[in-house]
Amino acid sequence: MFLRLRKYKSNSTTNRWLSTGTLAALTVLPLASNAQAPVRFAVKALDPGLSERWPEPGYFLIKRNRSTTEQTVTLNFSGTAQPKVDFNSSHDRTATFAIGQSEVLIKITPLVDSFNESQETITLYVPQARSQVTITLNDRSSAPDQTETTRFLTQSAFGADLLTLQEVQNRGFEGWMNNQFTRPKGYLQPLIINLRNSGQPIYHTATKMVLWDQVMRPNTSQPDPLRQRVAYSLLQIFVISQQVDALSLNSEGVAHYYDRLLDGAFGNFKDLIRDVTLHPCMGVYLSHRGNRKGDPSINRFPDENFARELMQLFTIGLYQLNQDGSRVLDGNGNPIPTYTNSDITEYARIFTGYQFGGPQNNSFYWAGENYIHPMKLWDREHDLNPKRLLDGSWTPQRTFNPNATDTGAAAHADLELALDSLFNHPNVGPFIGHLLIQRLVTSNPSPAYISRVAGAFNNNGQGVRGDMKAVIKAILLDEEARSYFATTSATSGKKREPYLTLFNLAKAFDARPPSGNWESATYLYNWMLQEPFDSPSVFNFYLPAYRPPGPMIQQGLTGPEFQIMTAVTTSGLANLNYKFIHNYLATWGADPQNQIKLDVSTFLPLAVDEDILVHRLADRLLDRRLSPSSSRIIRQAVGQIPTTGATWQRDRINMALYLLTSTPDFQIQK
Amino acid sequence: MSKYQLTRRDFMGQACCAAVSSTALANTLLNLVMTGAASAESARDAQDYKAIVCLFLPGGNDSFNLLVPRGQTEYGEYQAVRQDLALSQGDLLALNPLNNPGQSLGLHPGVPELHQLFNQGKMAMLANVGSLTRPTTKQMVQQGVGLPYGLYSHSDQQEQWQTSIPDTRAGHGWAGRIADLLIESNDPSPVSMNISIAGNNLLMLGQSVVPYTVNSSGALALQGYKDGSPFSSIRTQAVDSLLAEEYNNVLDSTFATKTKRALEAFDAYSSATAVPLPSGVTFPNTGLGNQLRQVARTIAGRDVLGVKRQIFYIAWGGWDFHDNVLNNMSTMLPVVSQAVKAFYDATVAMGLAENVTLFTASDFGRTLTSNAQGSDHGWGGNQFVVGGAVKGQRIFGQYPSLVLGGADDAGRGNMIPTTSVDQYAAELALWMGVSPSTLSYVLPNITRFYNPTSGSAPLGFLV
Repeated sequence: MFLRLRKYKSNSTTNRWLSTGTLAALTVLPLASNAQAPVRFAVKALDPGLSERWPEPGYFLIKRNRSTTEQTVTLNFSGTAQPKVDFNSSHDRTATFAIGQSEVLIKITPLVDSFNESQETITLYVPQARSQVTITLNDRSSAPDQTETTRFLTQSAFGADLLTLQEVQNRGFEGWMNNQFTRPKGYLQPLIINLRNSGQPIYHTATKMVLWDQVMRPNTSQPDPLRQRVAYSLLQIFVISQQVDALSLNSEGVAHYYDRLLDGAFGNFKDLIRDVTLHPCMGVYLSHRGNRKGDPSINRFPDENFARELMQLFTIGLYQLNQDGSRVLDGNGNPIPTYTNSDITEYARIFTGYQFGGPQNNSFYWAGENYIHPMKLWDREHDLNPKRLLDGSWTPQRTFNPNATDTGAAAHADLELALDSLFNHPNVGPFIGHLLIQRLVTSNPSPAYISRVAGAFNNNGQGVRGDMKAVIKAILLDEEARSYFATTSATSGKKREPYLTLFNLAKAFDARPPSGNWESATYLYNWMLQEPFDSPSVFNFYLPAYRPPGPMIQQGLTGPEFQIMTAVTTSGLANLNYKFIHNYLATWGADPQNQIKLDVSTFLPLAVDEDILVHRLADRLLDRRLSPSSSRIIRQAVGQIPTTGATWQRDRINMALYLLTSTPDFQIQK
Repeated sequence: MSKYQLTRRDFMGQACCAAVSSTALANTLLNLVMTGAASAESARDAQDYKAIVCLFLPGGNDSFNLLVPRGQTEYGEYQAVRQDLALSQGDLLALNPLNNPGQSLGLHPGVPELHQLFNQGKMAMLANVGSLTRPTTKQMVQQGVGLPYGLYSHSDQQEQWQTSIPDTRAGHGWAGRIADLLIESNDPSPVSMNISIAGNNLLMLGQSVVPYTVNSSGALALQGYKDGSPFSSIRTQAVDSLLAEEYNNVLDSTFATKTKRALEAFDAYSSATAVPLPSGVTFPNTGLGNQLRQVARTIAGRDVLGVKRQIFYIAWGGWDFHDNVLNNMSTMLPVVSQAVKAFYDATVAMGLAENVTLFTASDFGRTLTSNAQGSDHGWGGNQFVVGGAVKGQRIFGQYPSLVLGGADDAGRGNMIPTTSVDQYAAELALWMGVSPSTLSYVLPNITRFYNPTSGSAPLGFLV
């Protein structure tokens, strides 16, 4: 006490020389006084559950409440896990805080071994903090942990809700997929009919509303997220778009088309391309509906649109491929085209005689619009002459008896030959496999990965070609998709599709409108240049070979989703996430009962500790553990929000979530 | 099939000799910069301002129904090939050009404003332009020699209009490469010389220049960032810190860099485009009108941005009318005509009519023959250029014979282009200030069509 008084006097004297005067001296006192109170330390486990099967490092955090001096604290590790055998630690016996440093992260890296072990523990006691915390370490044989499972569901579904997360942990990845294969299909068309029957006018928005309905179906109602995610991805390959007026006005037909992609997701690829070819929405979109055989006398030729895109985009692509996706080169080292313009002309002749179907349509020439039934084929408008197929063979000369019933038998027979010629082309496995890998797992798969997936396309193990279940399994269960070490390379991962950020947030925090009406999840295209069923062209929202400027272009890396990351959508998507997190998703004028809000109620009690809050939110949302730098920045920001006022818990959660969605940790899937 | 492969191999082999690979171009740019050649041609000394505006009509505009034969003989040929797609002869807006294009031509009746600009000498037409690897004859087409890859394909032909390198895939476009050379003309700024109001595209992307993208109402602010909203300063600091981190993974760092660049550019662009347009300037409230208004606003902010050279990209419409092409074009061409006229008037009001040139591009022209509902993907097409620097009331390039099976027909009335995208782009590049000696950096194939040291213009449509 005496000492303190003397110090006060001394300071006050010194400060007389300064113009700041007494006030400055008074403010110095409490600081000088505090310097003698003991510094308080705290120790926390930011990542309390680590795993040998997903050996991503996790962190202990040691904090101190003042950082004016250099200090060293003692680390006492205990628990059943052995250092340097079961895990590595960035620090052994001590950790030192430099001047100005308020926290130290202790990095714990699981070491993978082949022993079967029960769950082990790593306990860290810091005497200066007078407290200890424990990180558990699961064996390689254990069920996948939350991070690994969330990552799997980010690839194979639309993100992880808690119940599905647990279900996947219980069933295992392959077991869950096998079970998904048996689930009833979550068709969209019946939901559109329900909407209409409930008196809702059906606009182009209806397709998005029913898609959200299916995607957000709770785990308890036997949903089929794997099938939905594959169909959602197939829609980005077999593109139709409601930016075309005719389809904009026919949401039921477009939903019915999507339902065929749901069929094809776990079916055979040959059936899938037949369904796509015959669907009236595709017939309208790529204009083979109404396509007539040529008549050279009046310079009329078959429409080539569908024939071209069927080859270029839906089956074989532009250049001959090896099984690993690399281009076959000719003697001069140049790629070899898969088809020529004259091939397109030949195939265009095959897709002639196509017209709206349905029971009421009995003439090629007087057909009413029908966007549900497969198109009807008419031999009277089909080109019956031989057509050369890609392998050089010819379709037979067909005949048609104008006095008999026109069953379209010749056109159907030609269709089967044409589809077979493409389906059996060696390009399909690597071409479609690569596209689906890019949609689900990574932008830049290794040739070996593509080759394994193409192998599964070529033969599902039982001699069947084109089995999509085998392809999907090969993509999602491949070591390159599943191994932690595959994610650590500097070129791994993909940019999260902007639209999927919404589904991922909604799944993680169970966002749904009280009314069950999803109209608020519509009109989203302009925020991000992406919305299902609204691609700007048959080339989808982005090209599979798009290379963003900068180091990725220099390294020859593709990043399709970067193509729609413009200065406008950078702000647009962030602003939409801001709105979703802070308020709700709502279209203009939406009924409050239709607003879509995140449910973060279980996180409110965590808000008092920003370190724990940020990491538990990250666990729900991210497909990897939060990186140390993002963690530090976000924890510091959240910690600056005072724990006072009516809404501080929610304010802290909002800040944490918004910043989490702004990190590469979230925006780039690994 | 095998014959095609042989001939294709043949031409690919020849193409290897041209400096078309990315690496070769990068090295060329490096050399130009190191020797000072690139900066020597910069317009920093020039006090003038110049901008070109690319109006892209995606999907393939059926432009032989924009610039149409009108004389008795040629209209007869036109009608014979187009059948149900032919416009009425009496409806065409007559053109009386100052030069002699060899045919009597007219414009689609839906473009009276463009017709007026033509007659005032502020617009010129370019006949039958398309992507070519070299001057191409019908015989070469029949033999499959020296043709662009992916003819008749949207994505490929859009790409080739934008790269002007139709014998290989290039990762950048000719407007981007113009900007690579002219970048020293402008003050350093986070806002690129190249500004797209219609999303990312190849045309605007250079080796070093990356386009800036806005939408037709301007740049979009990041909510909660530097805006005084609750906790804005905390959030702003955290966002800036996240973006300033070093990221080992190249996708992580690409995301961070792109975001950072967008935020810096927002500040610069927003303050620059706060400058009001001259009173009396109005634009039609259409998608295209709004895009062009944003171009005008950006040009009005040129001094704040500190720029002497700018390139803009706008795109409007889907022109892929395999169906109902006549009705669709008569709805859409007036939108183009009115918006372009409004834009020209705006440049006059800003005193910049002679400094700004608008030009059109599209994937391809379309088959002259009908598929009974519309037209299919073609090749050569007609374009127009508008501005005070344009040698207007003229028709440049050779208007082809529309006779089916004639010398210019690749089949189905697909016109073999008589002018290449290279020539078209070269005229614009030279006008912008690219020197003849570095033109082949912008257009690696240009010498196959034009001798840059000849002293004459590639086509002559700009003064």
